[in-house]
Amino acid sequence: MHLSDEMRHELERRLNELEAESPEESAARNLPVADAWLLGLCLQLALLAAAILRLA
Amino acid sequence: MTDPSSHSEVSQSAAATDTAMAESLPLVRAERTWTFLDVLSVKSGLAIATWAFLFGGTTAQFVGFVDGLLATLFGLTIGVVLLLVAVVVPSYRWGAEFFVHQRSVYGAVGVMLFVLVAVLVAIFAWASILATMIGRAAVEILRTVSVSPLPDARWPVTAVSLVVLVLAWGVLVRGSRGVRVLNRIAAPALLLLALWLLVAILRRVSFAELLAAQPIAPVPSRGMNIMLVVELHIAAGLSWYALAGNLARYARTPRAAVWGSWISYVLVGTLSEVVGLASALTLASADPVAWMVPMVGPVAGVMLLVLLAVANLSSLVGMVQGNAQTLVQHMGAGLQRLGWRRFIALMLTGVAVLSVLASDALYNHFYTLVAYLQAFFASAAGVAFVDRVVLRPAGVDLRALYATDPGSPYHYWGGINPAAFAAVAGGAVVFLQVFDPIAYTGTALFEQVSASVPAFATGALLHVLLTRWVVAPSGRGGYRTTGSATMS
Repeated sequence: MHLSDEMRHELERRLNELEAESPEESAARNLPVADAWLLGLCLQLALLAAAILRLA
Repeated sequence: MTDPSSHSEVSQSAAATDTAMAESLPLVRAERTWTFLDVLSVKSGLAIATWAFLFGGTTAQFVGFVDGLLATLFGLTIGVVLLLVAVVVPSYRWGAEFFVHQRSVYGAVGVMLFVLVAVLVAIFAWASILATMIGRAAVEILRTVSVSPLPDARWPVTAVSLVVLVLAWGVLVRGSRGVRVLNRIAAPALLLLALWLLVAILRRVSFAELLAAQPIAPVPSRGMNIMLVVELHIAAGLSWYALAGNLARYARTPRAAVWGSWISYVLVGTLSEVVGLASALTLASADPVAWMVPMVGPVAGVMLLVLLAVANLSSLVGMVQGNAQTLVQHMGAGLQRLGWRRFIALMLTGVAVLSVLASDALYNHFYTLVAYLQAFFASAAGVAFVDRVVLRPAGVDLRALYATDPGSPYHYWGGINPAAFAAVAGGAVVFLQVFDPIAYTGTALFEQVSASVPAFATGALLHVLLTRWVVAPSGRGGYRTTGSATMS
C-alpha cells in the first residue's frame, strides 16, 4: 500500500536483511533497562519539582 | 561500528529507488551512522531558533527569571521524556518511519488522519513560520548595512524567505547526510550565539536587576502562572513528535538516540529560552532581531543576525528532513516516483506558497496553533506509550506494518482502529476542558496537574481499557499473536 514498485522492492530487500539479523543484533536496538529507569526518574523528579515550585 | 563498505552496498542497492527516498523505509544497520555528537548537533540545531527565544518571551509574560528558568526546565523535561518513551524509543527500535509504526495502533487508513493533521497542517505551518523568521533577521541585516532606508519590509522578508527555502533544498537533496554535515558545522556556532546573546544582555543589565525584574502580564495566582509556563514547555517538548523519532532512527545506538535528544531538547532548549526570557524581562522584546544590533553595534550585530538566520535554517532543514519521510510513506506511489529532489522541491514550494499567503496570520497565531495541536499530541503520546509498553511488550510485526490488506493484523475495521481514536479524542477533550488555548487560561485542575499530563493519562487509560475489552477479544490488532512475529 502506498508504495511504488521500486520502493516495494527496496522494502522487501530491507525486511529480508532485518529478518536475517541475529537476535543479539536485534536486541541491541532496545534501550538498556538502566536508561529506561533513568528516564523514568527524570520524569518523576520534574513532576515533583514542578509541584514544589508551584507551591513554594 | 559502521562498516563503510556495507554502507556503500546499501547506497548502491537503493540507487534504483533513490537513497534519500529509501531512508523513509525501515533503516538497516549500515544506515544508522549518527554518533551521539551527530544526534546532539542535529537536534540542537532544531532546538536553537527564533521560536525558542519567543517561547522564552512568553514565559516572561507570567513569571520572573528564576521561576521561569525552573518552570522551563521542568516543563521541557516532562514533555521530552514523554516524547522519548512514546515516540523516539519505538522509532529507533524498529527503524520504521514513526507514523508507519503507528499503523499498528490506528490502522493504515486511520493513521492517515494523523498525517494530515500532524504533518500537512503543522509542519507546513512551522516551516513557513521559520522561513519568515529567517527573512526578518535578514531584512534587519539589510537595514543595518543599507545606506538608504528600506521601503515596506514585508516583501523583502518574503523574498529572503524564498531564497532561504532554495538554500534549504540545496542541503536537503543530500538526505540525512546533508542535514548531519550542516549541523556538525552549525551547532557549535549556534551554542556560541545563545551564550553571546546572554552575555550581551548581562552586560547591559546587572544580574541583580535580572533577578528583580517583574513578569510582564501575570495572572493573579502564582501557581497558575507557573503551571502556564510548565504547560507551554510540555507542549514545546512534545511538539517535535514524529520528527523526533524519524531523525533519531539514524543513531548508531539507542543511548545516542535518547540522550542526544534529551540533552538537545531540554538543556540546549532551556539555554536558548533563557535568552528570550532574560531579554523580554529586561529589554521588552524576546526576539533578538529587535534588540541585537542596537545593543552590540552594527558589526557584531550583523554577525549575530547571520548566526540567527543559520539557526533558523538548521531548524528548517531538520524539520523538513524528519517530516518528508512521513509524507513519502503516506502520500502514495506518485510522490515516490518523483524522486527525492523533486519531492523536496515540491514540499518547499508548498511552504513558499504558505509563506507568501499566510505567514503573518500563522506567525500571529503561533501559540494557539501549538496549544490545539498539543491537545492531540499529548493524548496520542499516551496511546502510543501504552500500546508499546503495556499492550504490545513483544513489539510490532515489522512486515505486517507494510502489508495493509484485510488479512493484516493491523487492518482493524476497514483500516481504522476506532478504539485508538476514541482514546485520543477522550484525552483531547480532557485537555480542552481544563485548558483554554485561545484565552490561554486553565481551570483549578489545570493549576494542579497541567493539561498535558491528564490528557496523556486519559488517552493511555482509555486505550488500554478499550483494547482489552473490545479490540483484542475480536482478534484484531495482533495483540495476541505479536510475540511470535518477526524481530521480537
